[in-house]
Amino acid sequence: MKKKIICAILLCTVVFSTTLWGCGSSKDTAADTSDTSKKASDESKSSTDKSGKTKITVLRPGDQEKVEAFMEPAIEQFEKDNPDIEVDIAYESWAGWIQKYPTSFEAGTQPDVIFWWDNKLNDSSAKDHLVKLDDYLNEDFLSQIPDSVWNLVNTSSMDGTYYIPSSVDTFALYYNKEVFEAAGLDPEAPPTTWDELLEAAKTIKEKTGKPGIGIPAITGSEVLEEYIGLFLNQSMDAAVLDDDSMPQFDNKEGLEALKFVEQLIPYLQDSPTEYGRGELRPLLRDGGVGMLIDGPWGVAAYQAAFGENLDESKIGIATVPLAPNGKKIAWAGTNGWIATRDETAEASAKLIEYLMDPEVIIDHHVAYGSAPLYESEFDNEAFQYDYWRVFYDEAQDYTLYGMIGKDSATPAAYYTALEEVWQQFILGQIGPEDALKAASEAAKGVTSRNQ
Amino acid sequence: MNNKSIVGKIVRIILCIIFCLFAVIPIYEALIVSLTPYSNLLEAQLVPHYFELSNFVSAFKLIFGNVLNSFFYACCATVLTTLISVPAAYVLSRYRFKMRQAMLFILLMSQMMAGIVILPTLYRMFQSLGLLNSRFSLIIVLTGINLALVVTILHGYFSTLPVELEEAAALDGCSYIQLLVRVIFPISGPGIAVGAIFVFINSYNEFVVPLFLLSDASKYPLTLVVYSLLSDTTIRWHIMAAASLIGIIPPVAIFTFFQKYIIQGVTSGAVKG
Amino acid sequence: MKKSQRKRVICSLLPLIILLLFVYGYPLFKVCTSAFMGFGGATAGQFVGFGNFSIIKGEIPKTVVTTLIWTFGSVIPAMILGLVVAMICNRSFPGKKVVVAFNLLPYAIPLIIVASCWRFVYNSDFGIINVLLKNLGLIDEPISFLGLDLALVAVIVARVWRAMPFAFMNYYSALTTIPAEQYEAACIDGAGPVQRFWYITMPNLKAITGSTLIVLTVWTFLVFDIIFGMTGGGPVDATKTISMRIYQEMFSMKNLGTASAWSLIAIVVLVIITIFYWRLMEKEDD
Repeated sequence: MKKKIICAILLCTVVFSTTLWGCGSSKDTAADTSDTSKKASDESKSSTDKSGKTKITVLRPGDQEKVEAFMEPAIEQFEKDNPDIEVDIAYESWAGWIQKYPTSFEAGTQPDVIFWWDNKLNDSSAKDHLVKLDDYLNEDFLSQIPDSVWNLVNTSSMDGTYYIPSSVDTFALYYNKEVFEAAGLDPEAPPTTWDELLEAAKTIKEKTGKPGIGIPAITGSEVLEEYIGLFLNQSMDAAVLDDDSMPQFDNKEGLEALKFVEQLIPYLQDSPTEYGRGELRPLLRDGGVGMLIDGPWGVAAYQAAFGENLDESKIGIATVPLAPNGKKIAWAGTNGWIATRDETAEASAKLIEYLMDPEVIIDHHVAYGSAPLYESEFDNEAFQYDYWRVFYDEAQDYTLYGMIGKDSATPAAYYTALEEVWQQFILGQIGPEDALKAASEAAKGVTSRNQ
Repeated sequence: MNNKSIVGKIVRIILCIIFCLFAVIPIYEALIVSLTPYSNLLEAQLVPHYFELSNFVSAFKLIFGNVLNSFFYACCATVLTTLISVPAAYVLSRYRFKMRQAMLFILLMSQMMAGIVILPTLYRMFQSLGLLNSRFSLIIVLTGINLALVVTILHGYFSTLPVELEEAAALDGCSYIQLLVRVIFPISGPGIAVGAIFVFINSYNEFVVPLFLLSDASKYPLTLVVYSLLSDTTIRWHIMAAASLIGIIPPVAIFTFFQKYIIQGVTSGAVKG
Repeated sequence: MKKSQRKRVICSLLPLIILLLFVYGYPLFKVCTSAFMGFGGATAGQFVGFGNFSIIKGEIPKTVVTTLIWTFGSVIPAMILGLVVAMICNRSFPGKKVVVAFNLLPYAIPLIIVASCWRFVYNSDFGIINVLLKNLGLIDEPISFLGLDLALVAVIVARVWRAMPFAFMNYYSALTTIPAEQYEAACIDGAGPVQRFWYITMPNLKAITGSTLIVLTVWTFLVFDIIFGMTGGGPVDATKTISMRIYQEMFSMKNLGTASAWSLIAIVVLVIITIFYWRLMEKEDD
């Protein structure tokens, strides 16, 4: 007993002394950070005074290894070109950042330059922080970006340029050629219409016993809404929500889309709500599922297994099948750069221009698995393969409907509200009619909260 | 030995095995996953087929700074809590004053209140004070939520101590501060130890408070890093498992070492489940 | 009380009171006011009466039921299992120390790591339960433990795992306080093990059962980490307890009003349980 008491007291002493040491060493950090937004921005100002350098932080959310691969060399070069600017790179996973950006902005600790979403420009946490970039950027620069891309970005409610789109990601149909062969399907003729898609999914399930098509329906990310959104967009030839954030899918075309998805349900992978996009890719890679609808982000996962040239691999990539109305419509999301602090706006804008430089952008797209944005990117070796054309062409000749919530102060709320309904629908708890009604009510509910 | 006691023995052994299995299965599974290379993850294994120690190396590199953060927050909270609790618990157990019962009730109430209930408004309050994302405010909150626990433990402990020593000290003309420093702190060692161990483990394990208050990854405690691994688009199960295993070493070590104190603390009826 | 004593009391309690007011007092006060204030759209900053409650009223019944199942579904099994282990360990046998140490272990593990470890166990590809059942030939297709039907059970099991040591510790030390003479006397009277359990062990454990039940209930009621880490509240709303709703209203919906409304519901429940517990302790002290 006595021994233990001595141990305990010893522990206390150790704890105490470590703390003293810790307090001593972290004193200045604690003092600095205890005051936030204002101080944080003051800090960047004052750091300019001290070393004559402007200090900025840049964040490109995503898997750290991929981001590092292009960001570190790019920033090194940028710092060489701009000796008066010092850049810190922050790392954060997508889901982590989605959870955290409200706190980050509200605490005033957001990075100066952020790879952002087009639908979160009106987000109430971030909106007031965005810097109008027109005064800092040169004009030619903005005109390089294709119109098709700008069409996706919500500029109507803004009086200038706050966001520079840097990648456009559209969906494509990924399929496993070996599974197709095993099911007696032609591996070179992927489905091009909804009917063919259903037929292929059914054949795969019946012939091989494997799920025909995968669906990401995991809770708490935005993937399921984007998936169902694709079918709704195609069928309606309209966005999921209108400019006033009211649902426009509660109609015949919307019902047609859901009825089609309902037919797919028997051929989906088991327990869909346990799979996100990341969990489905190994399944397709290993032939555990016949087809997937996924963005270009999936490419890297297959390249890691089969080498850079997927055209020669067992993974086929084709445009998403068309709805019975035959219109070329696709879901698309854009990501791009924003600057968030007036004090560092000049340096931030310089960095953004640099990150949008064709050479840097290629490295970015290659490293992260984003589709080429400019035609000129196809000159690069990494984009020589045909499958990249699929994504690029889709962004060029399809009508694109982007992510929901563009005009809302709470874009994430729509995903949360709709996700519950779509999950119920995918799990067979409710039929298409009820799902449509419930989803419509849910979206209206979110909108009415902000009116 | 009769048949009955043999049957009883067998039943007991079987039950022991079942309970022990239940208790270690998640840890065991984490161990299997943490030893598997990424490309073989989907393989079914009942016993580890691989021995990929590099997973631990990469996990360690990833979380080392955050474990230090966790240690720092937990140590600061422990010291602060102890410093505030000792005098408070002392007067609560030695003096009878009007608000004493009310004070004890408030302490109990605050122990019952889980963080998630107050965090939304606490978060807004810190936002308007400009105190978000600061190590300092995290430590203050960690201290605040652990105070009641330590005061209750110490209150119980002081009640078991004889008053004579203090009376002697008072006769010697000790001032109150002197009394606290020279008499009370030294004799309350075991009580402080029990409280300190709990504050340390609770603060080290805390997830919700830093989730709300911190936004800068370099300040994250271990628990937040485990969550960000858990929420990756492509979950790196092997790294997550290794990080989890490394992360539980400190609390488990303390726990095993001070098992007796912990049981003592828990059964004093003052500790969260 | 003398003036100097009063000063002493006040000085000693002041830091405690200030900190409690800062961390609990003011936020709780704000919860009570925010729950009746508007935060989105036209009503922002205005008093809205029960407006926030009417926004969430559709979700209240399901959420409350889920929370109750979650709470009692994990507290009661945890207590029963804890009692069983405590009874086993109440006599000495070789290896007892190991059994005690193993069964206390989960208590030290951070809840979010509990969540991550159980996600490994439940995984449909490499999770040990599915692998085991498959190897035994009991199933062909993996069981979807985190799917719609089983998700709530799955998180409850994880919670039982983490809560059991607490019940175990309480029962373990309570059992040692039961006087051996009582058992001996019962043995002489010819009481069997079952009778001894019902007439001696149980009455002696009544007090500890009451307090353990209350503490575990309160602490399970609002556990956030395990559910957040394992299912995020899904699929659909299978595991959306009140704490998940608070988080969702706060960060997805960005509405402090509705988040506070949920908090207030939880607080009312907590206050009632606490008063009950307070009474119980006072009775014991008498």
